[in-house]
Amino acid sequence: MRTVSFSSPEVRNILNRQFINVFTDTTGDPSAGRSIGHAPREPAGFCIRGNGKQNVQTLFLTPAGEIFHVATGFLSPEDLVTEAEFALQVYGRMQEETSRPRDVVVETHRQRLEQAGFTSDQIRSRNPMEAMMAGMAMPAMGSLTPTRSGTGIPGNMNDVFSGLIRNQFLGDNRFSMDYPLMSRRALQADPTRLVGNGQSFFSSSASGTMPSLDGRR
Amino acid sequence: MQMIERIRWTGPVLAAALMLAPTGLSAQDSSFRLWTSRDRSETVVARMTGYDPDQRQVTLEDQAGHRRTVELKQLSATDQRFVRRAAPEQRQEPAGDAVMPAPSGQTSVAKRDNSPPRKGRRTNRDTTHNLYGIDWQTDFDSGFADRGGRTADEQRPVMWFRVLGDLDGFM
Repeated sequence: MRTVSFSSPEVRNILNRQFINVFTDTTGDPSAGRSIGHAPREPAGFCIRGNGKQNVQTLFLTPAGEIFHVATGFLSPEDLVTEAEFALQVYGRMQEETSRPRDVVVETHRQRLEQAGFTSDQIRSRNPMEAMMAGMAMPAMGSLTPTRSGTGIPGNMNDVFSGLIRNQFLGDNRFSMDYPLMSRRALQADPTRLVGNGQSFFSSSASGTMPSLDGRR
Repeated sequence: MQMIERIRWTGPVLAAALMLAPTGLSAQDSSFRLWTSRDRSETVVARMTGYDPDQRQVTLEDQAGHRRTVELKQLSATDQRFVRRAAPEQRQEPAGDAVMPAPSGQTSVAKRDNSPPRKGRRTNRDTTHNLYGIDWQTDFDSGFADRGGRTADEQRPVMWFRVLGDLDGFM
């Protein structure tokens, strides 16, 4: 993401103008994934939205450190701008309805999922298999973000991965509904509520440095 | 052309409105809209004709053609977001480089391509530096302690990028 998404002028524009940007190296975090070490100069490999959710998370917080929106895994420049714009919408409504910020977070994310085609039952479901089937049964990712490609992957490849992408989209947005305004300290203490207990391994090109057997990369 | 209500911003109002060049605003950005003061006690129909990011001052022109300059922090949060979104780039981009205005008002430069980051590029804030054209707070705690909600202007939300590895090294 650093060499693909952050190189986009549109991404730089919205992040520099609208947000305070913070990064944290999660190396050593038990919930973090593994990755071949890639230098900044290495060419970016093929990624779809959501790749490596244990390796990278983009979160949006209030200045007080309360999380109101998340997107896990790889985000293309278009997806990152879309998520940032949605975060600004949520934050704007929170400022307009200061007496009920948690309700605003829940409502805006529920509306977003409904607009993306998820049913109320799918949004409420706590059954992982049911949620996965909800994602698999949905039409292509294009319906999530009508004006953007969403994934940056062409044609039928979009269909192949659309179910997985939609399932992750559902999980990310439902996290904000389940834990509205979770403190960033609470997330740091237990990131598994966001990224689960699985381990993702990420490699974006044929080159790179193999991770050590006992290391985190 | 008519003002909804006489604008009486309670903070310092500068008379140097015409000093700000009204360049770079799109037609949509510079169209008339309703502006609201931070305490919501004042409203005015006006259009933005300039923004000085260094002084954080916005120049508004009402429908009678009168110009006033107000501090960004005197505007409602919605209006502040509008200004930040609509404010023009203050300098032309030289070929090959992207010039980005830093939150502090300083200008930092980063390559537009995938070239390696320029380590150690720091703004006037010790906890901020520029990588990949984005101004980052490198210390989460001090960043919040320094900036979190002190003024309306500093009440921007936070984008928190959690990533496995060094942002400017291997990852």
